[in-house]
Amino acid sequence: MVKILCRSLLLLAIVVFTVTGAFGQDYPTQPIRIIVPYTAGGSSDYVGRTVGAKLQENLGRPVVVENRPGGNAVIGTELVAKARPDGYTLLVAGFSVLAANMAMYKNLPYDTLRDFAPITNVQDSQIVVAVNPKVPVNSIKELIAYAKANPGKLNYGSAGVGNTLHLAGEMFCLTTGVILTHVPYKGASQALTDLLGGSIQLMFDLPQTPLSNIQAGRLKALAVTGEKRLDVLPDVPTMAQAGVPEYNFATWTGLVAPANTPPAIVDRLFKEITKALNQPAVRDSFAKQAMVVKPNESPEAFRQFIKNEIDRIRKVVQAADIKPEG
Amino acid sequence: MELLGNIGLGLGVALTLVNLVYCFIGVLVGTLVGVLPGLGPLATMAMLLPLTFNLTPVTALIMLAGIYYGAQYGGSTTAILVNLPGESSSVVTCLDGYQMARQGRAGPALAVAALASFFAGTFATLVIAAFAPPLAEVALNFGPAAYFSLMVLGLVSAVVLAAGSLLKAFCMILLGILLGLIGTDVNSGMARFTFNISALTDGIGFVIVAMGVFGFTEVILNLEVKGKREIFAKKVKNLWLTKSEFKAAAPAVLRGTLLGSMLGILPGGGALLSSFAAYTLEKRISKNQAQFGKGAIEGVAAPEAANNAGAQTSFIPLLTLGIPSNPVMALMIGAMMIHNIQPGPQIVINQPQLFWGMIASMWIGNLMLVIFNLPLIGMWVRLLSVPYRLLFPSILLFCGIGIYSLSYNTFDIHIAALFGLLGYIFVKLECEPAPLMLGFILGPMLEEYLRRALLLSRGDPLTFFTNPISAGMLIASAILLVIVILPAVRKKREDVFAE
Repeated sequence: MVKILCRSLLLLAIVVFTVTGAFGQDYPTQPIRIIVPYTAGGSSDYVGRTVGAKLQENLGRPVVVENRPGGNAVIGTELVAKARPDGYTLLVAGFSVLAANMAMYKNLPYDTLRDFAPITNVQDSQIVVAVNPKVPVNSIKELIAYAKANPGKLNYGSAGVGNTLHLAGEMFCLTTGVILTHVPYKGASQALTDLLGGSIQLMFDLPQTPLSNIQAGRLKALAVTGEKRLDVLPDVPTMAQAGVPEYNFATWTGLVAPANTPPAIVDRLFKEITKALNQPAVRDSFAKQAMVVKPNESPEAFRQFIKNEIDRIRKVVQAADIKPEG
Repeated sequence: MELLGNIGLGLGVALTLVNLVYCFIGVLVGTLVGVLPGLGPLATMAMLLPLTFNLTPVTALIMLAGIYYGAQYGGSTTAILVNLPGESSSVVTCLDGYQMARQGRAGPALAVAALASFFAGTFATLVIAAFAPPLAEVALNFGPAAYFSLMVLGLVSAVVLAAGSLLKAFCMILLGILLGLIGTDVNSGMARFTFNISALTDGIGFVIVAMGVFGFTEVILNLEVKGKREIFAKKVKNLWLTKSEFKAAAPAVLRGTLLGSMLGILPGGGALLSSFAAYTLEKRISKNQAQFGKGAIEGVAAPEAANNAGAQTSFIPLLTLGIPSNPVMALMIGAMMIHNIQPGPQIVINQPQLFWGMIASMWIGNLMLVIFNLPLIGMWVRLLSVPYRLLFPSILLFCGIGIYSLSYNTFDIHIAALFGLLGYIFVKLECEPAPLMLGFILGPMLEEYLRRALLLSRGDPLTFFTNPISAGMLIASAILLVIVILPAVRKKREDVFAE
């Protein structure tokens, strides 16, 4: 019975496919793969799975999230760059993969603007400045004064050389003129352990990682970047409110398809994803993870945004002399 | 009194029918995954994650946790039967477990592994219930300097691991360290020894090397000697432990449990060290040292207890601080995020039913595992009577699938095959792979913590002595080194006097 049903469905699919042709209106006819170039459990994975579940619901086709970690996310990214541009392989990527890597590495096996068709941004994450409670400062202004009075005393941790958190820290040093020592770790949670233990004094971190420890009073949050305070940290001022409006830094995650994916399919995905992102329930669940849903106006706007980001980061990388390849 | 109330609350959650069923599914899947070489809990949990979206958070986490510790149990089965470490933590179990199986003692080896794991699981669960928050503070006191000294202690004791020549062991450790350095350097971001292969920028996986030098090598060796394999299934005498075996294993289990519980708390790779550490300790203090590496039951009991205790207590940093101590724990955090739970210090306060329910379910899961694994021993042992010409292709096939599932990269399978050949050469040269594995784990961490500690002290090496934890461990390493060297010195002197 099931077999017959399957066969007739398959036949139907073939008929529909051949009659209407592959021009977007009948897309999708087969399961869609969303590649996340990191291990399961991070914020990119969260974006992939949340968007994937919504797409599956609205497109009526299975959407499978595949984690392809490794090589600083280059392996999974390269896979999608070289995948068939038919709209059935998508990539969750953002700030570090699409923009920062472009600004830092010479031998990348992909070129963001050449190899990908941007669909839309999904979320922005602000940066929170978290300090160990033993550091005698209670605001960003005090932190800057303390760092200037005690040169060489403060260490900030990051998830690795050239990582988002490293760039956020270097950007802070550049804009405020303080000197902090960078201590790289293998991942943000390892750095968080040493921040809690007091081996390092501060981190410029995505809010998700230190959030619960800030709420429990084990870390002091001095300020967040961005225009608005975070729902989950209502008492923490923005940089502007704290008197340092010149420091601004945010990361973002979006979805891209391989270059040359038919525009009709990119548009369809853009519409479906932005429609899902505008649902209040989806916004709320992102907000609970300290992420702000921020879809673009159009796929073209997302492309322009990525382009600007690459230029912006290139300046930071040059000014701070970050050379992960040596 | 509060503790009893909490455990009661936890049991109330864990003993509901739904949670019992999912706990069982979790440990069952975990055991299967553990038995299949290389297919680890991480890949399985990632694949099953979407299935948990529709469950309540506590049920989802109970199932995922079940897969994790179920895999710890299952991993030892293949280690003992076919010398394949199904899990990174069961590498040490191979050393004596497989030798026991070769002597027809697969039954007792499997039984002691199951019982040791159960005892350790029960003890570690109680440790979590009673002392989780204060123990998390201990973990935080371990700074980079202390971790460095812990690794030194580990490397010094690696020499003790070796059964044969000290020089060869030393060379294997060095080779292991060098292999461990492949990949991106944490401090500079430079890629080292990667030959522009992007799959190498994250280094070679521990499981891949272990599968190569243990599993693949064993297959090659067996194919070299025709018909040898059939013998040891026939020799199987009993499935259960004898009284003297029980007596030898019991204190080893106790020591392994304590050691594993302590090391599991440390997020910087403590749990992985625990089985190596427990084995080393047993070998040092055991009366029949000569038996180690040749089928000593203590050599199975202690590391099995330690790795299970460590697996359990590594939940402490996750549940109390929101810090994942390994990739599996990072995935648990992901699962919590998807269910809109913020992992961290708030869990105990905001979600007591989740926290205590999970802890209670861990103990129930361990009980299920032992009940469910003991009757299976007979079946596993019978598996050995399958002709080797059928067994070895399936071993290689499952290994291939398992390795591929780690990061969906065929390159990893080639690497494992290469290590299989290398392992064969090691056997011919009478070099043991265990010190290599330990060097492989510890080397990169040693470098990472050394450079981080020096970066923080602005280059002052005194930081290793001014930190009390670090100083204590360096002194312990020095004492251990003296103990290792002394007998040799004494012997030489005696030789001189004899002339």
